[in-house]
Amino acid sequence: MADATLRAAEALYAFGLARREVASPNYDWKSSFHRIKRLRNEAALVLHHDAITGTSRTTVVRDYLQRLTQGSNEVQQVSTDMLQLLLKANLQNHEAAVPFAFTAALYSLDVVQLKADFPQVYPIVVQNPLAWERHDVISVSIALLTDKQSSSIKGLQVVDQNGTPVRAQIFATMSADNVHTPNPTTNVRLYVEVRIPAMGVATYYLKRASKKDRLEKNNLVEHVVTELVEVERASGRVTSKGAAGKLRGTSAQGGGDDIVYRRQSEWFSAPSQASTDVHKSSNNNNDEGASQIILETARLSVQFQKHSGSIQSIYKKDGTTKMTSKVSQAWMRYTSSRSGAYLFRPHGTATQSRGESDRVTIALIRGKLVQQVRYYASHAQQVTTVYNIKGPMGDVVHAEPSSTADMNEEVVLRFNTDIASGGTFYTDNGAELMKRQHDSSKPIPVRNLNVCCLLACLFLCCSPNSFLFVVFCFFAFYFFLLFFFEYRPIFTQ
Amino acid sequence: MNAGMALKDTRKQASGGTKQVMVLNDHPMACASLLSDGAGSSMEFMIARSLRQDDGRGLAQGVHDSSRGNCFVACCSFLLLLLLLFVVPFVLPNEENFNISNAWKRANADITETLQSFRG
Repeated sequence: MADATLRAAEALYAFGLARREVASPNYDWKSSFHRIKRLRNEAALVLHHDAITGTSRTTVVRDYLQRLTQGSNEVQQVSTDMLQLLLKANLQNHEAAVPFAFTAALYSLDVVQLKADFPQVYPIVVQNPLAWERHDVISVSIALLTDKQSSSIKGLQVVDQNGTPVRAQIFATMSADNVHTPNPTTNVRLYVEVRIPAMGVATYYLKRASKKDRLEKNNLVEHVVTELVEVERASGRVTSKGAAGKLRGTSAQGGGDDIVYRRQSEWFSAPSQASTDVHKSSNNNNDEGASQIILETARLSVQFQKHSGSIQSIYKKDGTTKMTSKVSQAWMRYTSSRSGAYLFRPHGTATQSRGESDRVTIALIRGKLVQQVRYYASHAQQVTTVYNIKGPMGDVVHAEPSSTADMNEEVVLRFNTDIASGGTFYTDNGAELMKRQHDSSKPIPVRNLNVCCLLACLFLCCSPNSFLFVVFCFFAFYFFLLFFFEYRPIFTQ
Repeated sequence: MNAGMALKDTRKQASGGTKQVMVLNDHPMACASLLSDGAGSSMEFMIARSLRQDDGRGLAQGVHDSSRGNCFVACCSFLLLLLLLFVVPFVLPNEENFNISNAWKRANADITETLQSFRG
């Protein structure tokens, strides 16, 4: 994250500097450069092996985190300054006096507050630091700060810099902490399809649609009601009661216009027969068809497990080859009283005994641009999203799993696939792809475990030094080194 | 920085390609492929660790690393990719070819270099 911010700021700084005569001769270029340099130093600092593998002490990690956060914030300010200078220089008549603020990167949680006096247009500037055009979906969280009808989330429109409406979708999201409460949500989330030229910047404007468009329901932001079901997994009994709800804080009046979520007393309506059949044929569990959720875009279709928000299989229907693959997810855990930061010594194999509670809540959003399943079990959550766009991001299933571990527990997410790999797998450390072989000959209790670390620490496993490590571990009755990454450390106090 | 893991089918598809499943994640974590037989194989990723004791290798404290909470990267995100591949051959250290599609490369870069957005 810090690296991406840094690179983006460096690119903008270079552009700004190249045009400094036009843009702003008075700008303090030197101090901006120092801010960039500082983040460079901080980013370099966390390349230390202890920072990468998560083998540093709590205070040290806090220090790393603080340095990166501070450095990033300062550099974001540089990006913002540069964008303003550049936009102002390019568009003389543009209202470039509007102060910009950095809203963090893609998938950000930043909240845009739409007040009743919400301006005519609300610009969102998106920068692409990569050297090719990107076709993606960005999202912005929107809070309605008033109960006036004028701030309704209906009748909104997103246009690009030429004034052409772009595809967009808005829906209510909730989090694990509040999904069970009567009023689970205060925010809605806006998703906008964007196309940004290589190394370029694009501006999108959120505005109220014209009266004509509103009446004809043309080119509007698609408003999708989030459907919520609470279900007992074992019996399949739906325990939630049917009720519709609005955003917290909005007035009770105003009819059913602004309903953003609906609790259902029945299971979700069945998906189209065709897509169910596709998944059925590949899964050998024909009895489950109707009770499952299917997300579908023009290129992908994702089927979920019975009464669960975990993925079961993915069907790729675009391109020259159509194929289905089983990618069945399972939350599992290892218990251990001997593992530590460096060593992975679980008591036997992973068990499924904890992870998903029996009573779970599933939220389903089926829109034309974004389709999403939000899954809340007691110890695990997952948000799975597919984007109905062209380009590589439309070819992937985006999953955000998260879980917490109890004391002396290590939680893993396992994907059981129908790929006969013969025990070979490939890991990518960001620099190269490594071929690895599951080694079933290791004389380890219960089951052989070959765990690989994924990232920069990989060289330890591959260099001659690793031999020492492995031998050492072997003698000590450990299996393998396990490194864990701890940039994003959350420490239980 | 991001990382990924891939499985490749040893069987050829009817169309002549080979089936692959790839998981890309926007930050690295331990992974393994423990179960493998003629019908399929598994991939697993470590999401959270909480260990009370030190393992005597120098850290001198336990580990509490969970993907939930307010943090720099709030939670790990996987991108599951399903591709029948043909596109770019990728040479592995043992000189065996492993194909990575352009889509994979793009998606990989996209999650590394996120779009930067600003609001007015």
